[in-house]
Amino acid sequence: MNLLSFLTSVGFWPALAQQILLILLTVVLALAVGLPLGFASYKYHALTPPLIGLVNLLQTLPAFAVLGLFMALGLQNFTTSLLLAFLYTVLPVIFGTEKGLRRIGRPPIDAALGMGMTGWQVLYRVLLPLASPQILPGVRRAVITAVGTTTLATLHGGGLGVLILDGIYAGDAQRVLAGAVPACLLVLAANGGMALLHRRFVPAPLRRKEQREVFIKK
Amino acid sequence: MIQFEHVSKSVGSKTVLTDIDLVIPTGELVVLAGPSGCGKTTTLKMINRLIAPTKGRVLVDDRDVASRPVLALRQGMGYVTQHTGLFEHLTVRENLALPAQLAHWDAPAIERRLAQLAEQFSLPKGGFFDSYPYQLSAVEKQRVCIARAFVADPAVLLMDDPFAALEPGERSRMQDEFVTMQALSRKTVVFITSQIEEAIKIADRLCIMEKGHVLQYDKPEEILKNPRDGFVREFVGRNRIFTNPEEICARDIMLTRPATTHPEVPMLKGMEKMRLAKVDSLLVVDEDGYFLGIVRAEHVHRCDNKEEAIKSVMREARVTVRPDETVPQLLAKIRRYRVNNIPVVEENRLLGLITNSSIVTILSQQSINLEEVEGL
Ligand SMILES: Nc1ncnc2c1ncn2[C@@H]1O[C@H](COP(=O)(O)OP(=O)(O)O)[C@@H](O)[C@H]1O
Ligand SMILES: [Mg+2]
Repeated sequence: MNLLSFLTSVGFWPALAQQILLILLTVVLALAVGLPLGFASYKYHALTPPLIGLVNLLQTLPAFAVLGLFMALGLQNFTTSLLLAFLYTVLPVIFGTEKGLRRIGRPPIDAALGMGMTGWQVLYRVLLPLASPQILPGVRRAVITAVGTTTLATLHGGGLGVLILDGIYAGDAQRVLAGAVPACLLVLAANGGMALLHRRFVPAPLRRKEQREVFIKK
Repeated sequence: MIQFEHVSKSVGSKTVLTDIDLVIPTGELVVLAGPSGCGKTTTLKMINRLIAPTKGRVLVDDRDVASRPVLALRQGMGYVTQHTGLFEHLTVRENLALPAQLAHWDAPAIERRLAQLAEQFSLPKGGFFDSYPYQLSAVEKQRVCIARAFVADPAVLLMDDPFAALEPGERSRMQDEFVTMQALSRKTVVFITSQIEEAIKIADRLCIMEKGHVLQYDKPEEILKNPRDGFVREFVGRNRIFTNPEEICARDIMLTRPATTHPEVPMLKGMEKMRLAKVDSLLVVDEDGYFLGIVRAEHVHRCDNKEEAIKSVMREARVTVRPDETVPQLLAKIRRYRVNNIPVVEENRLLGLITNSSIVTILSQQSINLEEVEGL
């Protein structure tokens, strides 16, 4: 059988489209919530431990179990998929942002304020670029987690997860592969895409080796 | 003029500053000196409103800074933060351009200003402006930091221990340069240091602080002569080596990197170097560091063919000193040979240069009567 018509016959394209939409929404949501929370926990240091603790706790719950919980509660829709994926993606964004801002230290901030920058100018001309070597890997991990978690989260809705699950039920290896292979490719693509973004957004002098080592650890 | 009126600062239950009263006259270089944690940085940051007083007022040109638009206030002041506050993600050029951009200068004006500063602060030519802070040496970083504070030509300079990261020799050289620059530009400077030697060397007025209090605020000579209490006496006493001219030797006060040249260099290049370094003579040193002689601008000018090597107009030094010769010995030689500066030489190698002004500076700080010294 022709590959394209096979993919069409198992409903691959809508599944892929929905999955990608879900990934994008998850990442946008994780950024929209994670960046401000990261900034807040940098600004108000006392906030950091409880915040990280809470998100960490939620994150240690196995995704599959939480999914089951949602299902048992009869919550099976796009929103719950999004919520589930969001839960597992927001932490690296918060964490990376907080850590990136924290290591900047006082002098550049004083220098920026002292030369008469507004708060916003300090944020986007100094803080964000200087924190970017930590923020971007956080986002990168978030994106990769998003691809994985959304595959899982779409088990009950549209998305590549459905293909895998249906394939398993039907004992149809080809169908499983039609979901599983693209899901893996998506992760690789996301990883590659984020590496490019890293090069694009992290200023060259901050991309040197010793600085990279700092954020590989966690 | 900058005035502190009964300024106090507490953070939580901790008192950082207590009843600070200071008048910093326009055009003077005032040094805040004291041990780490005594409140110097806090005092400085109140001038550009990075920190607000808990009590009292800070006035700049008779107006409470709290009532001034904060951005304009800060743009009118050059600020060098403690440790270098260079932006690591920006090139030297971008770092330097920022204050001017914030003041809405146009690009050509900024470019002209940067060229001017490069000259004034002896910033290297070539790719230097396109390099990033991590590629610079400590001295270069410091120069860029200070240059950045000068960019928008502010009337007030706030400098928080700007030379702390430098080696002693480089530090002393930067102090000299800064004093010269200050003498020319006459900005109002508030300068922080925890080194009393540095404070005495550069200050028009010296403010000794301890535990959030101003202990004594006066001309440095006055503080050295009449320290108000035990703490001040002990603090300035660390400068003991500089209290007796017989204990100061050439090594302590020489410029460690005088302008030098190689004997084979064409005179044209030598002249260019003198022009850039703003000196009228160069010390001639061979590739192994052996001192050969001096070439003076006047000798080069008298020579017709400037393509010729410097060695053809070089003269032997009239007099040199060893690094362990003391100030009275130096003075005696300067007077006897009627020279303005003396190379410091050990085993035929050039170590540095004593200038007339470096000796005078030291002596004036000591409030030592020159006539007295001459009699030694
Ligand atoms: N935000 C703050 N919270 C608590 N203590 C502070 C704060 N800022 C400064 N201090 C304290 O105030 C004192 C003076 O600090 P600082 O002005 O930085 O001193 P210096 O510049 O002379 O070393 C120090 O003991 C420091 O610990
Ligand atoms: Mg300080």
